[in-house]
Amino acid sequence: MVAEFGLAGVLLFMTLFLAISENYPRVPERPSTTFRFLSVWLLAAVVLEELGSGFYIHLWMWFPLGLSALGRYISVQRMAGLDPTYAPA
Amino acid sequence: MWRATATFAEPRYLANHLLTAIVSAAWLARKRFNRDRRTEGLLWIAALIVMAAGILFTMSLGGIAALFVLVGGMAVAVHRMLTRRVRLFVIAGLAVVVLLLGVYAGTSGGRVPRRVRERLRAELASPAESLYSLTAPYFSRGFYLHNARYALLVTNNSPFVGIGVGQFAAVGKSAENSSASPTWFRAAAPGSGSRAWSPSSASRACSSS
Repeated sequence: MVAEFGLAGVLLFMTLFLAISENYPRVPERPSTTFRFLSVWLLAAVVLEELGSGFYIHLWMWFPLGLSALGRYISVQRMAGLDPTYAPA
Repeated sequence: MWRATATFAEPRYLANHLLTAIVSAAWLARKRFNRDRRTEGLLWIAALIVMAAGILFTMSLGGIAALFVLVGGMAVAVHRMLTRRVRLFVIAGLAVVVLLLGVYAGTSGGRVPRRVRERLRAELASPAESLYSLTAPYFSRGFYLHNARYALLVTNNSPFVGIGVGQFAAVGKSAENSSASPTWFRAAAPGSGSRAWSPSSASRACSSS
């Protein structure tokens, strides 16, 4: 990954990663927000598959991160719909 | 050794894709159970089990380890939402599955566990001098080390923007052909000349020789 994308690419990857996972521990669990489950575990799947591949990363293996970000977005929108006082940081 | 690859070039690519699909199946199962549509939920669980079996058949050690971590983590995450009766049913079912797997692994007819054991033993026991050998039967650890060593070299040459997407093997090939490159650098280049860099292409080379 570092070889093909350089430090700039690693920085972008980390930014995306942190943007998706931001504030997970502080977001309360609600049964109706199963999208949070999808988002968290897709993120975990990407980390695990890259660990298992010795970080020989191919860009086309990152597509779950986009799905994870979408899950995160829907989860936050639904939380806001359920609780008007909820405001993501 | 036969390993499931489906339409992918490498068994571990299949394992990686199935890991993502397993999360999606678990999510869909959870949604169905939340809406009290248990039959559909159970069908998604069945799909999850089939995909987990697919990962086992890839014999990808990293993929199998990731599968156990992922499924274990998801099981811990959802166990609170299950009723006591369903939880007992799931625990009993898992106990039966583990028991059957244990019996299967213990018998001589258990080809999948035997092959996983063979792969694990070969990976751990391969001596340092044979890590880059094309004649060794299973040696993905060697190729990971090989690629990591070469990655450090090219990162040192172009640290900020890298060498470009998909260029890892291509640059390795030109590095091998360049007389300006030192011998050890050329030898470390992945995808170059007689040195195959991927475990599956190397396996093919072994099986054809």
